[in-house]
Amino acid sequence: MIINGPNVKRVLTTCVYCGTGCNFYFHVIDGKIVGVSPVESHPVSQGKLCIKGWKAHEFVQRSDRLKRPLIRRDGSFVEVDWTEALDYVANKFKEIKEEYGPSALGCLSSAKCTNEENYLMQKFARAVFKTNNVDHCARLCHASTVAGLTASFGSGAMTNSINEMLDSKAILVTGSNTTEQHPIIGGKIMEAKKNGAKLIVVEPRKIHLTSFADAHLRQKSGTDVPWLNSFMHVIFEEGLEDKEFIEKHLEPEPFEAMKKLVTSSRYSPENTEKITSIPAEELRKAAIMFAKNRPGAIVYSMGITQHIQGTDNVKSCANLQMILGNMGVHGGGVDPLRGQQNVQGACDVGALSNVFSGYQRVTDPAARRKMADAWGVGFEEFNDEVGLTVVEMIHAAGEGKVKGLYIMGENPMVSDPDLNHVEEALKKPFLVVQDIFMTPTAELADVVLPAASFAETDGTFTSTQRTVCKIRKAIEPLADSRPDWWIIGQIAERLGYKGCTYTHPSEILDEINRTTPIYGGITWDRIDSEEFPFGIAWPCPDEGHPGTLFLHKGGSFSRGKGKCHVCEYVPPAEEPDEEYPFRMTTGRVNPHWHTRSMTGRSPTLEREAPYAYIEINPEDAKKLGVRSNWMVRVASRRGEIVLRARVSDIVPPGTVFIPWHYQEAPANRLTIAALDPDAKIPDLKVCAVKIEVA
Amino acid sequence: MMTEAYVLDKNRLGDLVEVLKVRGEVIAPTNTGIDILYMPVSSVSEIDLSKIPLDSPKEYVFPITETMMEVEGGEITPVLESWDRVLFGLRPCDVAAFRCMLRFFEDYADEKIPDPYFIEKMKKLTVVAYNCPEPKEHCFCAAMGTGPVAESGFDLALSDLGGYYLVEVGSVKGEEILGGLPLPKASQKDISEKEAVARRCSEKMKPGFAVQGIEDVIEQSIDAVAENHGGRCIVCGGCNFFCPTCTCYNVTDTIEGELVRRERYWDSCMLQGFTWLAGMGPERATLASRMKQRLMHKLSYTKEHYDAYSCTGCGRCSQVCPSYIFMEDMIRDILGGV
Repeated sequence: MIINGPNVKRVLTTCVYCGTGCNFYFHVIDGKIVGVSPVESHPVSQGKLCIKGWKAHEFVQRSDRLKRPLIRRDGSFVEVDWTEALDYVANKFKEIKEEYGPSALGCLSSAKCTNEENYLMQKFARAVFKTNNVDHCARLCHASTVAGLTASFGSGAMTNSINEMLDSKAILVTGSNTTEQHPIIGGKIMEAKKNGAKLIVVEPRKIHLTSFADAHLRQKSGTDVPWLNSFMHVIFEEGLEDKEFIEKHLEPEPFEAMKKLVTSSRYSPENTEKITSIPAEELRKAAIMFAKNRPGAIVYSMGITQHIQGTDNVKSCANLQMILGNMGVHGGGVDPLRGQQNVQGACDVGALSNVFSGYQRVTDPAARRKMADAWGVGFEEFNDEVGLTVVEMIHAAGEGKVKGLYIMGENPMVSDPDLNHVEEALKKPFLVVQDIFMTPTAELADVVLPAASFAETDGTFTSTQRTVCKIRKAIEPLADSRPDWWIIGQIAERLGYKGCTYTHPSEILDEINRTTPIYGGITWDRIDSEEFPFGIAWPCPDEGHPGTLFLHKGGSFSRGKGKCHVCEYVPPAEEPDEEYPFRMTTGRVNPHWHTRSMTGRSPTLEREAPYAYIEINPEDAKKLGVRSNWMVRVASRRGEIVLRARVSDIVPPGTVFIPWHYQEAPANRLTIAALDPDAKIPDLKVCAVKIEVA
Repeated sequence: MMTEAYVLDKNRLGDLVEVLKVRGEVIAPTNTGIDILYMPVSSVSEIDLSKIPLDSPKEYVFPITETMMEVEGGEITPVLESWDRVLFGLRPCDVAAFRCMLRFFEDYADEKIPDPYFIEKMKKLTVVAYNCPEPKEHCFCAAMGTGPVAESGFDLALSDLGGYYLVEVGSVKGEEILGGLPLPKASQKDISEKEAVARRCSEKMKPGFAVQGIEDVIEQSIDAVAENHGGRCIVCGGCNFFCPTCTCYNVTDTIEGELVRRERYWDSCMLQGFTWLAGMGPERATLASRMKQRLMHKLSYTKEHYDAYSCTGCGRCSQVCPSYIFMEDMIRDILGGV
């Protein structure tokens, strides 16, 4: 929706930051984006925005945007034109493929790019490189959600919708600093509480939301399976489970096996207190409160997913909601909050190493046949094995097994665990980085390709509540930058494949509609029609379907019956010891987003939180002889960083917290690349560090 | 300065618009099919006065981002963009708010340095107010004494009286405009009808308080109110960005090669980084202290300084707040004592 005045334009679009999916208007005057204002009639944001949304324009037209393609020659970058850059890139990829085979190539797609661009990247990897080595940073955040909820329910996404939280009678928030990370959703949770809902927060830190909680349980980071199992232990003990729901809707044998485990004495609140440090009485009260106030919703984010047992954590949340009958009802559900504006979409359209779009498995011959037909590629040309995931791909590059990496809109040099290792690894392969700014990852590249930002192209994003919504081009791509979808097509053509060449993103969405059942009826025209001005939520199988706001209605799960899982506690890969006595956990701050390549270049946002810092409890600070604003050296077995201390009782004694955004003191130099065996997500939330005054 | 009042048939509104176009670029509430937004219009068919928009017309006199000057090779070039504009359909709360902004920018709180960027735009602005026949959920202009009819600060003011508009003249410019559009004079009956419409509108507004005298009692309950309500703030800045009286801005210099551009852009005192102290962290570190500052500013400090509150009861801050913090609730709590 573009409203023109003589020289004033308003462009309706979707925010580029978190997964809430707010819409706003860009204010454009003479080709310059001067500001943003909220959209009154948007069903989720309802005229509201957080500070990142209000200032989402600030980074777009910064003068240090990447303007021209760059090739590294004799150690430094030289500006070249597109033809030279694209020819060079294509030739190098061709050489690598011919000499080492398709598995020596890999693609990192981007949760910050559109659905169309992510679909193209996985199509490129599979049809051109002929590898399934395509993945994106969902691997680092919600891979365990996708794996866990798919196994439990048959569908790996937020089961209910954001506005339903206002009608929940109880909300259990765990591993989500909602008012800082998804402020609009956090606001709705506070409002639900004000209207009488019970709010239970299970979270090591005293985050803002805990000021309003009926119960705040402070578990040690990495001990979630125990408290979740304990909750169920109490619920069965008190007879508060929903017996009718269990009998009608859950597979009986898995349920019995799970019940046997959680009701064992091992998972009594008294015994789990020793692991989690949550006092048994408090846990009992909270469990009973949650069980007695239905419908209840579980809202979670990285605190559940980014663990060595992330998948089990998610499955345990699913177990809990299934036995309470909180599934398939308005106001209930399991609500993972996706942190990037299109990480849901990037997963949906197949930018994952094990599935095509719509979660159709690459190991399934029927899926391969379908894509072969749709893409004009021979069936036998497809790789039939699951490919490498993000962390695995980087390690493989370090071991010399992956010789060529094509990275779009990702910054592993800040976002991946164990950065020293990542840095060594990324120096080895032929590296192509496509981005909007010169990030630390781009600085290591052999070729840098300047991409257009979300304000400079058309496309769609899919929010955390599965709603597919449009972004609209407000200005022309800056300097010589080009849309990501165009660039992928150009490289593909030079490698002999025309199937990635389109004239407009709407053509790509058409193809997504044809090949992806859950997106079947989510067409370019329908998602900004009078009936659906703000998009449609999947599943939406055909053009007559209105979309689906909540899943598994009435207990009828996507997979048929709900499946419970037996989850035993597995301790984090690395816990504090004599040498490294502190439990370090990572997280975010409100004004910054991810690797800060955009928010760090936004004056208002950067001013809010300009310095990297580590939160240290006052008791620990006293023992260390450290005061607020003093520089401290924090080291783990992987590396060390120097940053300022912030003494605060937000963290409990023994635990420290570092926001991971800051490339000048990246928390990921310290984190450990230990992976969840199922989802391959790293244990970013727990590792051991030592601290001294710098 | 109320001189005369006239009547205008509703189907002749287009004639008024044509006459206004001569005065400059006409900005009016436009229904885009999604929301009503203040946008430039070229004909009456684009104008929609049926609902009070959330959208703020503030940016037309105080832009979201504004280039102030450019410096190149040691030469400073001021950049001052303004041209003749007509703001059509301005609600009384916004009309009053523009006066608040003018008071601030005229003398920068006693510094006596008028802000040329704002003053120039106001000089070139024609204001056609539209008195609200219906309030919105969060409106409380009546309680603040700024509505639902505009008493001053406009060139012309329209009131919807059913089949026709009452057109009141508020300035010499307004009289001149109507010189190009002769209209029949309004009768006493029309004036009474306008007052009746205004009364009905006031009665529909929820607040149930009158703000006069709040500056005398605010100190007693401000801390509790700021804590209760401010504690939920998620620091978005929206209340200030969209508030039609808020004038805070930040200034940045951007270097692009040889050119330095100095810009100012909307800022918010509710943001953590609004006031930093060297080494010690933010001056107003807690949410409650920032809410206290905001409320004291709007309801006490400016009353003391300018004899006018800098809240006009438009309700936008309540609408844009993701934490559902409502200004009218906070004022009521302050007056009621907590």
